[in-house]
Amino acid sequence: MANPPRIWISNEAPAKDEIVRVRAQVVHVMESGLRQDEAGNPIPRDTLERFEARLNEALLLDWQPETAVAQNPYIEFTFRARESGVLKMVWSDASGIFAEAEKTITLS
Amino acid sequence: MNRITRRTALTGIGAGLTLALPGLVKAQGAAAHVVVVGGGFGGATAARYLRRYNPGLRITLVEPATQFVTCPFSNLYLGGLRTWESITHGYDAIRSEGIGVVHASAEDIDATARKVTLSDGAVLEYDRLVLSPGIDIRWGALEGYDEAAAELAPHAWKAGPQTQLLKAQLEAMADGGTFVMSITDGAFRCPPGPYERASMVAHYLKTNKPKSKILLLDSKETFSKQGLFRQGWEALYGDMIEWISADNDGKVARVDAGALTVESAFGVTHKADVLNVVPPQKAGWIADRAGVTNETGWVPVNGNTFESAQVGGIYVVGDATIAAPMPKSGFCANAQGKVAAAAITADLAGQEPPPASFVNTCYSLIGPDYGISVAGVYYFDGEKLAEREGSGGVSPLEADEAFRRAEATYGAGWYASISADTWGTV
Repeated sequence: MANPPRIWISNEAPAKDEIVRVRAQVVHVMESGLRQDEAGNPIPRDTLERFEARLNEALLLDWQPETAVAQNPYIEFTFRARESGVLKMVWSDASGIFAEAEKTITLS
Repeated sequence: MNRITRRTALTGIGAGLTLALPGLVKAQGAAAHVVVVGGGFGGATAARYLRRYNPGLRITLVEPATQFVTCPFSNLYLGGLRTWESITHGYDAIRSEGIGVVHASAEDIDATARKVTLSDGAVLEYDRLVLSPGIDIRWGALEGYDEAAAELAPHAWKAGPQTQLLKAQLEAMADGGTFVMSITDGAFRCPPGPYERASMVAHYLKTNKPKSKILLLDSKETFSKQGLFRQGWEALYGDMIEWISADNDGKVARVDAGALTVESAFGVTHKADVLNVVPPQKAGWIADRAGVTNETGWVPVNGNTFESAQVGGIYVVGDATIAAPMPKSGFCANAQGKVAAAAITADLAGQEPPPASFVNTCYSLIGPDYGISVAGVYYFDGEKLAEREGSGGVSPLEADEAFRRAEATYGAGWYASISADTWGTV
């Protein structure tokens, strides 16, 4: 992959139960499969199928981006910091894992 | 003389309709009353074309401002190429056509009783209502950007005091300063507007403060007429304008208007000397009161008539509507005003609406003698609004100076024509 995902997190050392905001963006063409090239041939679908965020094993967010999502999908979400651990985000397409990113969360 | 000009041809069409209708309208007894809320491109046009199509109709135009300042060409005012007076239009011509003009705000709408309550306490009963409410800012949708912030970091996306404030700030800025513009994504008024504004600010700065910079922080990956704008910027302004797209962390997540800083989604802070925020938007709030907006904050309409898809008897035109593939432009509002006027005229006469067709051109000025455009023809295809295949297009990328100069002239001609058509003013 050309560019690693871009990640921003409001606080990597939150107090227990603090609401933490995360912004994440990945470079992806998100080709819908509905368009044609100049010769009239269909351009094959190439989309992200899934985005998953976990804090350790706990699932925070499961998103299935579909064809209406623009290229370079941007997602913003919040979670309650119940424990210290690793915030792991995984983007997948039809052929498996497309990109991954991690941030360490340490309760203060 | 048998020479048919565009103007006489249009008058002829209007006359043809009016000849066909008065008998039917009179058969209803007392003249029907159409109230039009909003005296901009959509509403003023609707009022005047209702009068042309049906001279017997009672028409009231409700508009708080006694003088309407247009967003189109307000960027030229910022660039020093237009006076304030030249983008300001009054309502005398509309009054002289027998249309009642009330300078008040519509404060409530009762769609069941068919009544509009005005800020001066008056209550207007209507047979048909036209809303042309324009846009409102979604205050707070961008963190830190509320009404107080807009007094420090103007949006200038509704022409008026905000536009004058932004110009005053530009004039007060020192040479070598940075003009920062944050640009929203999603649906917003005038898709090429931010980039024409950047061009006109660049013209002003190049002329008066050539060491200054322009930074465009965009929540989008691409923009209207992008190739043409970037080519023009390079030709006229060198590297004065820097554009940062969303995938390069251009999306602004937070505004600190007091400090004149913005923070990008991924945590980069940019400092401005003049900060202009093109913020998230929605339909003008009276549309909410009328119950015609949906969960998007905009107004779904029947594309053949521009009658609300949610509330019968209310027609909505202009930037407030969901009219894609038509852009939110003054020209589209003008075209939609005519379609709504024709549909209302037919409806009051118990007839089917005529087939809807629309035309739009957006001229943008990059320099005083450097114009570009995008145009399209739209129609209702039986289910939805669609662009007429093979119509319209954008200015070519390969064009000489004479071509760009000609388009700058056409743009000025367009403004004179649309002003005459909408307000009867020059």
